[in-house]
Order: sequence, then structure tokens, then C-alpha cells
Amino acid sequence: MDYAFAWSILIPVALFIYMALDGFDLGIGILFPVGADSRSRENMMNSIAPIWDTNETWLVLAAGGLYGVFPKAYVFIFNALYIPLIAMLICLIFRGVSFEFRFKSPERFRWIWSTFFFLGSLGMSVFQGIIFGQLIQGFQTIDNQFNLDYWAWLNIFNFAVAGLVILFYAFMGANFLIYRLKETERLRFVCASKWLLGVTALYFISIVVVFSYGVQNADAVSFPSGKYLAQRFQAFYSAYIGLLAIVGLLVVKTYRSLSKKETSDFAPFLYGFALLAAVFCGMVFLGWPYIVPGALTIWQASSLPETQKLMFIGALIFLPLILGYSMYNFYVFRGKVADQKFYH
Amino acid sequence: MDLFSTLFLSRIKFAFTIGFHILFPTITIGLVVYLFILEILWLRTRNPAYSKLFRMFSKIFALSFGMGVVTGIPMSFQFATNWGPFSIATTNVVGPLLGFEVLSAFFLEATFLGIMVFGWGRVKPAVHLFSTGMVMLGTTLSAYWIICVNAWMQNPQGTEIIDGIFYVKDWAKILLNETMFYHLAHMLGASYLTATFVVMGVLSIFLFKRKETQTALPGFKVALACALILGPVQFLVGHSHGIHTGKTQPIKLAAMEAHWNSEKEAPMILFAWPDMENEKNLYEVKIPKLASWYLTGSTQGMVHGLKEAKKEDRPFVPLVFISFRLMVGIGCLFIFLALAGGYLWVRKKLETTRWLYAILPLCIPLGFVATIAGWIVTEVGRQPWIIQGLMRTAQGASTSLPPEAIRGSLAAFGVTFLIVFVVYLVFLVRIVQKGMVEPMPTVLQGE
Repeated sequence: MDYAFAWSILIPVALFIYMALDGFDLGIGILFPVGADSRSRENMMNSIAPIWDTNETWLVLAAGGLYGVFPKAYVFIFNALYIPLIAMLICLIFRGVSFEFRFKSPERFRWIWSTFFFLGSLGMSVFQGIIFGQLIQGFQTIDNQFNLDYWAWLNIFNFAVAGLVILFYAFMGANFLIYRLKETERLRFVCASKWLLGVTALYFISIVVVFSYGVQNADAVSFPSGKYLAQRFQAFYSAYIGLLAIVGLLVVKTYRSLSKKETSDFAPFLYGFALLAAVFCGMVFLGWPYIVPGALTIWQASSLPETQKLMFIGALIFLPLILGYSMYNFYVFRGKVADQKFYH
Repeated sequence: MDLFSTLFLSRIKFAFTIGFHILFPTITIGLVVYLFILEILWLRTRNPAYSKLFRMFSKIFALSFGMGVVTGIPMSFQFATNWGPFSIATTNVVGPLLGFEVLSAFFLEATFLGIMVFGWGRVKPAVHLFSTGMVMLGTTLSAYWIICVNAWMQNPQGTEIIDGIFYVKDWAKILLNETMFYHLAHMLGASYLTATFVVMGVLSIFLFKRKETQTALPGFKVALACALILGPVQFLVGHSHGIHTGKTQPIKLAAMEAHWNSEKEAPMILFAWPDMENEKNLYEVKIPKLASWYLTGSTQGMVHGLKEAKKEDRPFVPLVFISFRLMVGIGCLFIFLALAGGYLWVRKKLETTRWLYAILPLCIPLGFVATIAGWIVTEVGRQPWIIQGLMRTAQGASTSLPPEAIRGSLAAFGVTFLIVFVVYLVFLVRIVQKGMVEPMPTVLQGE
């Protein structure tokens, strides 16, 4: 069995689960200023307090997994993206501590931790967007080595992707709040989710149109892996058109479920996952089999097959357990957050 | 050494971030065991004192755990950013160990922490106790995996190098490495002892002021009983760890003891300033023959000296030597304080004594100081190797990274850690100031 192939699916799966789960709790941070008052923001934060830590662990799994199975990619990517990565981690620290700090803070200082929570969540999303953007467009290399340009990530495409990530995370956050809040607080986020869905969809279409036009006219925008991406796109043209149709359909379905008089608790949240899955699959497939676009394929970046096999078996044993007990955790903290007393 | 080179800055950055991070696992690994004991005691006796204690210390735990998580996540990227050649060479060994750490430990502790901290009243007591147990299992497992990595770097068994890449020949020698057992036992002991002295220090504040004595005293006794067992055990474990180091890393041991020459009847050096340039000790205070006795069991025993290694193969001796003394000194102080407490307990004077409760709060930071000092001994003592005898630290560092980038990130982490640490301390003080007034809710769902 080709374990490099298996891992080329499993690592994106871990990353997808990370984006799906931490996405909604980062989104709640981004939406923090939208909360009506201090009480409402309290509920927003409480809704994710018992679960954010597990959600973030998926990021560690993606990083740790990369170290074990694609070491060269691990070193290449995080070396090339040193600055945005460090910035993302600093945001992560401030955001992470603001949970406990806000709980324990006297009323009059809460705004400080609300601000850190908001800025930290926003910052994490921006820098994740930049990192994803660079992973889509690929890296300039010299002799298959990183070209040592530590500021190459400062480009318009990455910021465009960062914008998309912010909007989408906020959308997923609003959907989670629809499930966890009630009455007027909830309606606020039904409305927010509708708006975010519309804006995100339009924004997504404009990015796709502008940059696919730009890439074809290479003088306007040049991606290091632009040619390869265009080839893959043309080779799987009909599949991509189909995928876009699916995305469009999902957007319509989501909008309709949000517009119902009695919006369901779960439907928008699950549609959010489906949308992310569709776009994410499309992106991963576009770059495949490159794990560092423009430099390394999955096979070039691989560790030993034995190592990959060992870790694969570990993942097969532990992932079902992890999914099982994290579902149980979600189940324990189900229902409307306002009804829950937090003995903390 | 060039203080502004990429290598040196990478080392400083790693030392700083991991040194800051380890403070939090040190307290949480130990504190969760104490919480587990408290929870069992509460469920069995229904004495509200235990539930009040659990309430306060679980707040301290949650705060510290959060700090541990956010300072730990950057560690998982740091191998890539600053130690690229090391990462690529060791993937086959370190990669699976870290992967299994995430899979078996990180998710477990992160998930069950939610129920442990926020789950009172939402799950049955037995499920809550189970969650506390799972958090305990998770923290202990993560200590095991990461110490497997470190023990392998100290004593690389079960692997071979082909073309600069490490291949695993025998996992058993990595997972059950003899060095790992010493390291793990010593680190768990350090965590338990640190947590025990944090608990005793915090409760002493109440006992000294004669506030909430009914609640504080039972908790204090539990911690004191732990300290009485742990102190001597840690001393013995540490001693055998030292003997083991003498076998696997004689130069490190020589640096710990500041022995330059290999000799029989080696003296124990109480204090000195090791002069690296001239290969001798300045201002030496020593006890003849003692080192030979405690290292080999005979006053005639042969003790290896630093001169057995070439000059460039020696660690920075003063740092190792002094850190070691600091660690042992704090350990001895802890044993003394535990014995003093035990004496007062037997004499039934714990209710009335004052001096012990005045001293113990001052000891709260000492366990952390000793733990950091111990890790300095282990890590600096291994230098100039990143993998003992096989790979030099200089070979493991990413050289392409510009020093400005590392300086910048070091400054950013420095400022960030400083801010969050100060706030963390302020909140710790606030938790203690609020006291132990709220018990756990006794009416639980499902009852």
C-alpha cells in the first residue's frame, strides 16, 4: 500500500477538521463585537469554552503529522512562512488566554479580554488565510530549495484568501450560535449568517474570476505554480464546473434554511461544513500531488514507508476514539447556552 | 561563540519558549493528581471541605492548563522553523513519537478538561471523576511520549544512521529506553512535588491567617502526606538518575560535579567556579573522597573527569554545575520542610504552629525553579550534542533563517509571554484571595 498516498488524504482531512471546528470558534471571536451586550458576549464565549481546546488540537495534529510523514514539507512550509506563522501563534496565545482571563476578570476589565479575544481570533484567521493562500499559489524556488524570500507572502492573493477565511469563519461561527443561543440573541445571528453567506458567496466568485483571469494573463498576476494549477483545472474542467454547481446549490439551500420562519438549529451549521468540504476538496485536488506546490510532491517529501505505516496504524486506532469522545463532549454541552449555569 | 548567530539565537529561542512552557505542565501534571484525590475523598466522605478545595484548585488548574496549551502549540512548529536539519534527520524517530503524543494524549486531556472544568451539574459524579482521571492520564501520557523523545536524544538506542538519516531498528529500545524510565520518574516526581508545595504554600496562607481553617487543614494534610512520601522518593530517583547519567553521559556528570580529572578518591565539590579556559576550579570548597563514595559505592571508586572529552566536546560547565546545585538544594529544603511538617503533625501541632505556614508560601516558586534548573542540567549538560555523540547542535539548526527573523520572533514571544505571565499571576492571586467559599453543587443531574 502507498502510505504516502494515504497520508496525502489524511493530512488534509485533519486540516479540514481543524478548519471546520476551530473555524466556528474563531468565527465567534470575529463576531464578538456583534454581540448585543456583555451578557450576550458571555453566552457566546461560554458556548465554546468547553470545546475550543479540542478543536485547536487538530492543528497540532496536522503539524505533528506533517513532521512524521512529510518532514521535508514540514520544514519547507514553516520555514518559508516563518513570519506569518509566528504572527499566527502570537495571536493564538492572546486569544487562548483570553477565555480564562475573561472569566476571572472583574466586570470593568472584561472589555480588555473581549478585545484580545476579538483581535486574536481575527489575527489567527488573517494569518491562516495568508498561509493557505501561499499553499494554493505555491512557492518560488531555486534548485527545489526555498528561495529565502521571507516576505514573499505579502501579496494580494494571500490577502484576498485571508478575507475569504475571515468571512467564512464568521459565517460558521454565526451558524454555531444559531444552535447554541436562543430568542432575540439567536435571531441576531440568523440575520448575521444570512448576510455573511451572501457576502462570502459574492466575494468567493469575484476572487475566482479575478484570479483565474489574472493567472491566464500572467503579466497581471503570477503564481509560482500558476501553470500547473491551470493545467489541472483544464484537465478536470467538467469536475470543477460540477463542483462549482454543488457549491452554488449548497449556498441556495443554506440561504433557504436560514430564511425559514423556524430556522432549524443544526441545518445551517451542517451546511457550513458541507460548503467548506466542497471548496477545500477542490483546492486540495487542484494542487495534488504537490504538498509544497512548486517544490515537493508527496513522494518527494515523504519519510520512510515504515514510519508512515506506523503512524497510519496509530491514526486508525486513535482517530475513532478521539472522534468518539469529542462527540460525547459536544453531547454533554448540547442545548441552549443561556440555560446552563457554568460552575467555573 | 557569536551571540547573534542564527544558531545561538535559535538555541535561546528554544530554551526560552520551552522553559516558559514547562512551567505549566509541571504544575498541571501534579495538580490534577491532587484534584483526583480530592474528588475521590469528596465523593466518599461528602465533607464539603474537599469540594471547596476542589473548586479553588480546579480554577488554578484550568488557568494553568490554558497557559500550557497556548505556550505548547508554538512548540510543535518550532522544530520546523528553527531546527530543520534536525527534523529531517530524526523524522523516523521523533515524528511517530510526537504523532502518538497528539493522538493519545493531547486530545484526551483537551476534551475531558471541558467536562472536568465546566461539567459539574451536567454529568453524573462518576462521569466527572472519570473525566478528571482521563485528564490525569492524558497529562501523564504526554509526559511519557515527550520524554521518550528526550531520552532518545540523551541516549540514542535502537537506531542507526544511514546517509545522515536516523532509521529505527528496534522500537522497544526507544519506547522502553532505560534513560526514559529515570527521566520520566524524575520529571513526574518534580511535577508532583512542585504541585504539592504549591498546594501547601497556598493553603498555608489561609492557615497562617487562621482563615477557613476547617477547609484548608484537611487539604494541607493530604498534600503534606504526599510530600512526605515524594520528597525522599524523588531524592533516591534523582540519585540513581545521576548514577545512570555517569554511565551513559560521563561528561555531563563530570560537568554536574565539576570534576576535571579522572580520579579515584574523587572529592565532592560543594562550591566552585569552574574555569573552562584553564580546566580547573576556582574558589573550590570540597569534601575529600565523598563523590567517589556516592557515585561508585566505594571511596576508592573511579570518577570520570571532563578532560576525557576534547575541549570542543564539553558543555558550558558553570551553568550545569550551578543549576545542579540549585536543584539539589531546593530538593533538600523540600524534604526538610516535609519532615518538619510531619513532625508537627505527629505532635498534633499543625493547628497551632505558625512558623511553617509563614515559610511555605515563600516556597511556591521553588519547585518551578528546581524543575527548570534540572532541565538546564539535562539539556546544557548534553551540549555540544543535540543527539548525544551522533549529531551536533550546530548541525541540527536551520542556517538559512536570517538572524533578524529569529530576533524579531524572540522579542515578540518575549513580550507576549511577559504580558500573559503577569496577568496569569494576578489572576492566581485573585483566585486565592476569593478563597474557598463556594462548594460544588450537590444536586447533580440524574440524581
